[in-house]
Amino acid sequence: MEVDKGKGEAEETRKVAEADRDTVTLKSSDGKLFEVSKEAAARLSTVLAGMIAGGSIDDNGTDLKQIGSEALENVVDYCNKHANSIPSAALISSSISFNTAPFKEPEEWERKFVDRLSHDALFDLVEAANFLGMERLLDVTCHKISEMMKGKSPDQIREVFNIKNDYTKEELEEIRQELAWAFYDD
Amino acid sequence: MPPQLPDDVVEEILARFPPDEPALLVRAALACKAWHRIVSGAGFRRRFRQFHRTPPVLGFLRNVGYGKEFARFVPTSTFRPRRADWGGWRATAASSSTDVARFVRATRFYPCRGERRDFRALDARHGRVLLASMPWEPGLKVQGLEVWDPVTDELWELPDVPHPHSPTSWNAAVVCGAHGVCDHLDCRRKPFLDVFLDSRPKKKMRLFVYSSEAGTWSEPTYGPPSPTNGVEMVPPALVGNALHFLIDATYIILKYDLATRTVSTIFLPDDFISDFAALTTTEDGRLGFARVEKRTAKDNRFTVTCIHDHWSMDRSIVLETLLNVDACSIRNDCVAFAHGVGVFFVGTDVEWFSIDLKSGRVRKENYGDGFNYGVVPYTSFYTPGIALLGP
Repeated sequence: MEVDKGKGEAEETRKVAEADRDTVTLKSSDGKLFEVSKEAAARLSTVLAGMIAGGSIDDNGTDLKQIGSEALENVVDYCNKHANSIPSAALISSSISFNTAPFKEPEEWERKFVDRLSHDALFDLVEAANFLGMERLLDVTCHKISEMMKGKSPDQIREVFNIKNDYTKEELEEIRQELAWAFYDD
Repeated sequence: MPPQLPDDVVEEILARFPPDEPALLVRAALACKAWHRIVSGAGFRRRFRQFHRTPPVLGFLRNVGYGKEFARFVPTSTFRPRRADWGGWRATAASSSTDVARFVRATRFYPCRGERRDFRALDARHGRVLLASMPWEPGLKVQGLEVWDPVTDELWELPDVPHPHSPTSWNAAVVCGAHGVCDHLDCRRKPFLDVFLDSRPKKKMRLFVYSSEAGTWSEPTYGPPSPTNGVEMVPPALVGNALHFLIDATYIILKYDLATRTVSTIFLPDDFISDFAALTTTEDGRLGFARVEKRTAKDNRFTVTCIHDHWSMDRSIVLETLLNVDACSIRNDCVAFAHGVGVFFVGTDVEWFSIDLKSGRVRKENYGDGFNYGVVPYTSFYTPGIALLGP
């Protein structure tokens, strides 16, 4: 029904609409705004679920100061894709029976989702997933990282994760001898 | 340069490393000391196990005979136990025949002691392996029992098995001591029990329980009369709190309840004619058995039967096509089952195969030399120990 409204009425309608909006607005550390399905956010993130339930969602953009815009865009993208994907048997069974089926391999779309990310974007996304308590996204991103680690030497692992070696040569040699089985070439 | 990840995020990543690739955690531990501290901590160890729940098959112990008999750890992963050879247990007699328990890898893991001369692997459960010292002589007289943890390389020598016991008809099992209250994800440091089943002719079968906490064998618990054909020396199966011993494949399964210390029997179906079977368990706690049946020279049917309300055929696999081997070479006395993961091991005259029932994956395992007396699958989690870092 198209009816002209006065300014006050429009404001009123907007407020009502926001109260039962089915999305939430998230704000990255650099001030960018992202809309995400409320249902998917609550289902996939324990932190966002808590905020939604506790009423601490800001309609003008809930501040997530720890998360940059690129990572937040990926989080939102993941949530929306997840909301659109058919609930998989894998996820249903993992929620019912965590004891016997804790980890399910990433699905095809999840695999593609992380495969397209740059190295830095992937690492930022892991941090964001950890911060937001997103178990499934952590599974998917960490699975990708563990695949990247396959066949890598400690030197190469240091390079990937930007960490400094604080072992002495002797310490490294001792461990290598002790656990020689872990070091022969693939 | 990517920014460094905080420790809690690193822990999340490392906890999700696949447990069937133990080398990944070792290499990660060598990246820096902080990472080593993470993966060798008790919190991570517990977390890693709770996350993955089902320990992978790290390898299997292959009982091999040279001349007569020899046992080995055959890795199926990359893990290797520390003591690859046991100098103190070498055959003293200048005998041409030797028995060895040999670890065969299924992952990269390989234990320090990958090979035990004059030993035979009997059973493995909850991260521990039960070995019997059996210098070759007529019969299967056991000289001593040992419990060994291939991951930590801890070894416990058990006091003498109560005598007299049958030299040819007996079996034994190792199990975590905290039955009923332990989830067995991280109980390798806790006390264990060893159950010894003795079956002397014309006498009742008896069970003795060794508790590592008490350091002694219990008084016997008596069961039904000993069978004429003897006890099958195949690894027993644990269902709930009860250990199940295959007494004689034509006769019964002996059930020993660890909590009540009582014995009962389960009768096998009347038409059960195979002389060799491996006991199996399902995720929902049903007991069954798997056997290789040779109907004709061309039909090597490998069947898995589960005991439920009644014995019923659960599954039947034609090995010849699955393994792509000559049917005649498939041995009916070389079948083993890795509980929890649902992986079968089947041997031919020259090869070992593992068959994952869930995924349908078939893999040819490292065979080695010597004559096969069967395998004991070893499932366990591997996380690097704190000892690597030193004081």
